[in-house]
Amino acid sequence: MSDILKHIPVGYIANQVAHQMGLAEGIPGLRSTTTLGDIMEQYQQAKLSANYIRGKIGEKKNKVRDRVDRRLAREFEKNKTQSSSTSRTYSPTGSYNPSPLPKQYQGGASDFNRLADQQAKQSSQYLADQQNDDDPASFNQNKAKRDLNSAKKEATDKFKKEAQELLMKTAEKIAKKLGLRTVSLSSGSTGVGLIVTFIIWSGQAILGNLMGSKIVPKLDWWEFILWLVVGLALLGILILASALLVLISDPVGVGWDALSNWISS
Amino acid sequence: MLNDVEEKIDSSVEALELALSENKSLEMIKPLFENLVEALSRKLVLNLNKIKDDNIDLSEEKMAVMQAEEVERYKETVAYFAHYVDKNFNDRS
Repeated sequence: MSDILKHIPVGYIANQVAHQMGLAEGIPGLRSTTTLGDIMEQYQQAKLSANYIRGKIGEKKNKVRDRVDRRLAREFEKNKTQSSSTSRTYSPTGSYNPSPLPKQYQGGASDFNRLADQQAKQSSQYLADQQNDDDPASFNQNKAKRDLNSAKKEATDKFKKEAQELLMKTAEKIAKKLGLRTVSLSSGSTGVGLIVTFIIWSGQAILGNLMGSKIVPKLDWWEFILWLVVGLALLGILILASALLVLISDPVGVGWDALSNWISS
Repeated sequence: MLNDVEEKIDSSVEALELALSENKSLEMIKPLFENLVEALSRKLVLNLNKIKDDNIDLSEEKMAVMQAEEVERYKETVAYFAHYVDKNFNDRS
């Protein structure tokens, strides 16, 4: 951009206009020293950032597409071996990575289906391109389509099953924790219930929080602190009560005397 | 009021386009561009006042956000016209 345009004082002009029109505080966020060059630079940077973000999103999409490609290729090969097909060999590039899809794509069956559809189309095209002149073309093409469709269905079903299992496990875990909490809180409303609550909490605190058991759910931080406080209080009461009992029973006959001496001194 | 300002913007843009089509120098174009910036600034002030009047119930923070968005739109428009003039000059040479 030429220097003449670059030095146009856009901020100054805008703030002058604002003052003329009664906007005493001027334009918010636009200083009088801002020039056209500053504004252009700001938008160049914004454009660069947008391009960078767009590039990053593109990379991520490509990674997912590659992973789905590998999975489908593997399913295709597996299916082909099982049916001892005579159709032309499909040659996937790269080895299959057996790790599951990333978490953000688990549960997104529609995304998976869309990508799988794309892959099916690409693979059909690939097979059509690779068709040998000697082979009966239509037979091979139909066979390849059937194989791909069944591979796609199988992969989708497997994926859905995995997602459902994960959902069930999480739901069970939450239900277990909620159930325990309901029992302990409802029983806490009675005197006996307080003891039951304390016993349940003790179990959860020792097994869940301290020993890190995966079966027993952990106490929340506030429950843990409350449990500690109540535990210490109970211990204190127990010690005091036993001391009192010793004094009352007075096994050696010096208890009350000692106490009265101490009080009178 | 808004109509007057929009008419002024239109006439400023027309004048700028005419000057560019007649291959006028940058020194000639600069005041025309400044006129356009002034007209756009008038529209900006009107829009900022409108935001204030239409959203009396809004909190100050939300109002500030809406006004900042309006200022960004203004900057974007100015940058667009600057880019337009710049591109025209580059094509010329």
